[in-house]
Amino acid sequence: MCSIEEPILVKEQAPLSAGKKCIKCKIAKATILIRYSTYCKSCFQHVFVGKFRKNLEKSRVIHSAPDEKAMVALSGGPSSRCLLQLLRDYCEPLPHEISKKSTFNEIKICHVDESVAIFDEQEKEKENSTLCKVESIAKKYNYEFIGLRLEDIFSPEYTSSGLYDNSLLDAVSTLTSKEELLWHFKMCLLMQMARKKGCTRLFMGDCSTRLSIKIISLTSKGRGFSLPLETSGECNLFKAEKHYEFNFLLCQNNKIVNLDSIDVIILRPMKDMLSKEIGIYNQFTGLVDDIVITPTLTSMMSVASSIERLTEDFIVGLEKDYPSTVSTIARTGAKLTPSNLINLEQSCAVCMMPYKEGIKNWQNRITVHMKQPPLAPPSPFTSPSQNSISMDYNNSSCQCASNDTLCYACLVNMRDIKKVVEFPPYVADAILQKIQKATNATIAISPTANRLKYKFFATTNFNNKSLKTDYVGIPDTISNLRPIKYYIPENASPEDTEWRLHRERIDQFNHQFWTSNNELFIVEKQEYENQLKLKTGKKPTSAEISIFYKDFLDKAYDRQMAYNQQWWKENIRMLLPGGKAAIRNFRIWMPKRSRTRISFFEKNASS
Amino acid sequence: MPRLCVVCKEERASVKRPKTGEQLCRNCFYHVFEIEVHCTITDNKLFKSGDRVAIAASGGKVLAHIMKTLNDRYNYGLDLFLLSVDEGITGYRDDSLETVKRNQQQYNLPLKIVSYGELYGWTMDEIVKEVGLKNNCTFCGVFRRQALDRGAVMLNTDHIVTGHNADDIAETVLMNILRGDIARLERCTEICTTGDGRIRRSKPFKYAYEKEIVMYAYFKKLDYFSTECVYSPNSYRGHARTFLKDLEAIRPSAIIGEAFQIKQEVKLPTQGVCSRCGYMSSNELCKACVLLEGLNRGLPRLGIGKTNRLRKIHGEMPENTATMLHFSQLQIDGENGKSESDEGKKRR
Amino acid sequence: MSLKVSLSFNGGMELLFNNVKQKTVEIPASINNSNPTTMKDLIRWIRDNLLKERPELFVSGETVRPGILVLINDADWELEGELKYEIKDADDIVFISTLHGG
Repeated sequence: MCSIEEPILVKEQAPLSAGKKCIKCKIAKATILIRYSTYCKSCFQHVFVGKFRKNLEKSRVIHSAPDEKAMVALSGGPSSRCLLQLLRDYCEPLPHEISKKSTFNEIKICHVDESVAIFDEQEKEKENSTLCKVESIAKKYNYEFIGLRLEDIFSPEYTSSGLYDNSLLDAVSTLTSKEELLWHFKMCLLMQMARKKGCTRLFMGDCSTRLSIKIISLTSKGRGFSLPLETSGECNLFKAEKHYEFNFLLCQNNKIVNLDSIDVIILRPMKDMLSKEIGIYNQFTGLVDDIVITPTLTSMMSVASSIERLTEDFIVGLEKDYPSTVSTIARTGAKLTPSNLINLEQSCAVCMMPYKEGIKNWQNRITVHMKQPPLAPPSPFTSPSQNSISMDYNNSSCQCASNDTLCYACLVNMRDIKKVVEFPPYVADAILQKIQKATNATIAISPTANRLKYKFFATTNFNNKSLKTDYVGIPDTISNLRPIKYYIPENASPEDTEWRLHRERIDQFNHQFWTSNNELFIVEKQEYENQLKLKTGKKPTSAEISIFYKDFLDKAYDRQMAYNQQWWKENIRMLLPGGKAAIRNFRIWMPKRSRTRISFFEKNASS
Repeated sequence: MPRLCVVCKEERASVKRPKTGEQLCRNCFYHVFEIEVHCTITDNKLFKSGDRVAIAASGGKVLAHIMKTLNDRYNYGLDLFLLSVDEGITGYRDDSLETVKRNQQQYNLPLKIVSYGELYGWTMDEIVKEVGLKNNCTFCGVFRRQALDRGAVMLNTDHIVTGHNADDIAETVLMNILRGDIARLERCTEICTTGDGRIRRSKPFKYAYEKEIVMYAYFKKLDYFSTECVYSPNSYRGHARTFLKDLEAIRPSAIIGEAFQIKQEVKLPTQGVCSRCGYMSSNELCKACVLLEGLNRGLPRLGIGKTNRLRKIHGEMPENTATMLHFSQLQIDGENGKSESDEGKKRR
Repeated sequence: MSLKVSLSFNGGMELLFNNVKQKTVEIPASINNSNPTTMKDLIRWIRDNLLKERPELFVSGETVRPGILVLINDADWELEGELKYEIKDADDIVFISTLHGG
C-alpha cells in the first residue's frame, strides 16, 4: 500500500545554524538548538521556565485550589527531578522575584521504589534501592517525603513489605506485560497515597517526548480508548467515591467527608518540554548531578525487548531526522478524547482505566477459536475461557470471570501469565465490588470479616463455571458489613435451602440495623459539630466529640439492647439448623475420607 | 510424529496461524479464515441483499475469491463486479492486470478497468516525469481514490470493497498519528466509510492479518501481488512499516486496529462537493482537480504547497484547459460491463 | 601532540562506562592521518577505548545513538557542526542520555 493521503512528509533538513544569533535576545551567540529555534544559554533557561509556568497557570485547577495539598511523583529521573525544582521555584519565589501567592497549602513528594521487580535477590543488597537516593534529593526541599516500595501494593495498609515474593512478576512471560503491570501498580500506589494524604493534585513528570512515546505504545497495546486520559496534561478521571480503598479509610476513621470534592487530579506540566530541553536545563542548573538513574526492566536490553522500548527507539530515531515528530504526535494526542463507547463509571480492576464493555465478545467474533466444531454455523462463537480470576477466600476457592472486570489491554496482558499467581488486594477489591454490583448483593456478615485476607489469582487454566463457594464482598460503605452471596449447590436439599435462606435473613437483619444506626450516627454527629461550630466558631475538639459519643450511645441504649436480644435469639435459633447442616456436610465429606483411608491401607499393604 | 490440526484432529497441521498461534490443516485454516471474514461482514451489516458491489481488485485475487465464495455460500444476494485501476506505471500493474482479466473468466464476474490515462489524461509515468519522485505518491493516491469511485459509478454500483487488512489499517493509524491528521485518524479505522453519500467503501479484511491473507493466497494458489510500487521509495513510511513489523513480532495482537475519538471542540473540515467535477471535497475544488490543474498548466507544485499563493501568482485556470468529466456526466456501462469509457481520451 | 579533553556522562550514560561520570582523557591531536581530530573521531575513540559493553547503546553508525544529547563547552553540538567539529585542547564535552527519563 502506498501513501494514499497527502501531504507526504519530506525529510526536514536541520538548518546548519552555526554562528547564528539567539532568536530571543538577538544579541548573544546561539548555543542551543531546539527544533528549529536557536537560543543562547540564558534565554533558553528563561523560555524553559516560562513554558513551565504558562502550562501550570493555564490549568484552571491551579487557580481553584488555594488551600489544597499536592503530591509530586518523583522517580528521581531527569524529568521529575526538574519538575520538582520548577514547582518549588514557582510556589516559593525568591525574595527578589515578584511574589506570587503560594499555590498549594502543602506539597508532598512520593517515590515508588521498583527495584524489587528489576533486580534479583543478590543484586538488591547492592544499594540498588532507589529509595534512599531519592530521599536524599527530597531532603533538600522542605516537603514531606513518602517513600514507597512496589511490594507495598500487596499490603493493604502499606506498612510492612513482607508479603512480596516477586512470584507475580516472575510469572509474566513477556517484558511488555510486565512493564504494563509495574506501571499500573505504581500508579495505583501513587493514587492511593495521594488520597491517603489528602492530596488533591498529583504531579507527574511526563515530558513531551515521553508522552508521544506513550501515545504510540498505548495505541499498540490496545489502549486507544483510554489513551487521552493517560496522556493529557490534566486528568480528573479518578473520582474518590468510586474507590473502595478510600471509602474504607474514611469509614474506618469515622470521617465522613463530601466524597465528590475529593478526587485526585493528575497534572503533567512538563508535557510541552522535549527531553532534550530538560536534559540541557538540568545540565545548566546543576540538577544533572542530582539525578537518580532508575534502571528499568529493559535497561541494557535489545531494542525489541518490549513494545515500550521499541516505540521509544522508533520515536527518538524519527525525531532525529524529522525534528517535529514528537510535537506533532503530542499535538495529535492532545486532540483526542476518550471514546464515547467506553463507560467512564466502570474501571478496569487492574489498570483503573475506564474501558469498553463486551470486548471479549468482539474478540471472539473476529477470531474464531478452536473449541467448536469446525463446520458449525458461524453464529454464537464460544471460546475457551482464557482468563478467569479465581479467588481464594478462607482456604475455599471460588472463581469468577475476569472478562467483565478487565479492559481489553489488561486481558491481553493476562495471556502472558501462565501460572496461578497472587494479585494485589486492590485488584481483588475492584473485582468484588463489581460482582457485588452485578449480583446486587445486599447481604452482610459480622464486622470481623473485615480482617479476613483474600487473594486473587489470575490463571489461564480455569473455567468460569458456576461458583464453587460463597462470595464475600467488600464492606458496605455505611453498615461496614461485608455482604455474602451464598453458594447454591446444584442439588440442594430443602434443609440446605432453608438454612441458606435463614442465614440470608439474618444477614439482612444485621445489615439493616447497622445501616440505620450508622446513618443516624453520621447525621447526628454532623448536627452536633455544626452546632458546636456555631457556638465556638472552631472545629470541635476530640474531648467535645466524646461528649457526643456518650450521648449517642446513651440514647441508643434501648435500640441497641433490642438488637442484641434479637441477635442472641437468632443465634440460638440458628444452632439447630446450623448443627444439622454441619452433620450433613460431615456425611458428604465422610465417604471421601474413608475412601482415601482405604487406599492408604491398601498402599501400605502392597508395599 | 507430525502435529495434527487442532480442529479436526485428523489432518496434519500445515499452518500456524499468526493470529492465534494455533496449528491447523489447510482446510480448517481456509474455513476459519472465511468464517472470520463472514463474521466481519455480517456483524457490521456491510451489505444488504441486492446490493451491487464493486470489488477493488488490483492488488490480488484473495478479496475477489472470498467475496465470491461467501456470496455463494451464505446467499448474500450480491451482484459482484471486479474493478481495477490502471495507474499507467510500466512494469508494476501489467502482470496483475493480466491476471485480473484471466480471473474475470474464471469467476465469471464483470470486469471494469479504469485508467489514469483515460480519466485524467495523464498516466503515472507521465506524472512522474513532470513532478519527480518526491511527491508522486500524492498524485497517485488522490487519483486512485477518485478513479475507484468513478469506476464504481460507471458500473452503477453503490458499494466498493477494498482489500485493506489489519496491517494496512495499523499503518494508516500510525501514519495519521505521526502526521497529526486528526480527521483521518478518526475515520481510518471505520470499517465502512461513506464517500460522498453515494458510494460506500468497506473493508471486509479489517481484522485479517496480512500474513494470513498471503498464506491463504499461497495455499489456494491465488495470485497475490504485493509488489512494491516502483515509485514509492518513501523513507518515512518505510520507518513506520519496519516499526509495525517489529511490533507484530513482539506481540501479534498489536496491529488490530481500534477507534479513536476526537475532542468535540476540534473543528473538522466540512464536506462539500467540488465545483468542477462534483466529487466530494472540503474545499471548493477537490484535491484531484487542483493536482490536475497543476499538471495541465505545468505547475505541478500546485496543490502540494500553498495552493492559493501559487494561484494568486499564476492567475485562475484558463477556461478551456482540460479537466475531467463531471461526476454526474459519467456514463453507466451497459450490463455486460465491457464497454470502456473513452470520454477521457476524447477530452484530451 | 595530544589534546586533553574532559568528558562527562550523565542521565544514565554513566551506566555504560562503569558508573564513571567524569573523566579527563588525552587523545591524539590527529587520529585520522594528519587531519585534526573531530567529534567523529572522538566518538569512535570512546567506543573503542572507554566503552566496555553494548556499543549499540552508545553509537549508531558513526554518530551517537538518537536520544543522546551532546554539549560541547555548554553549547549544543548541533550548532557546532556535530561530527565535523574539531576538538580543541581543554574542551569540555558532555553526553546526556535522555532515554528512560521521567
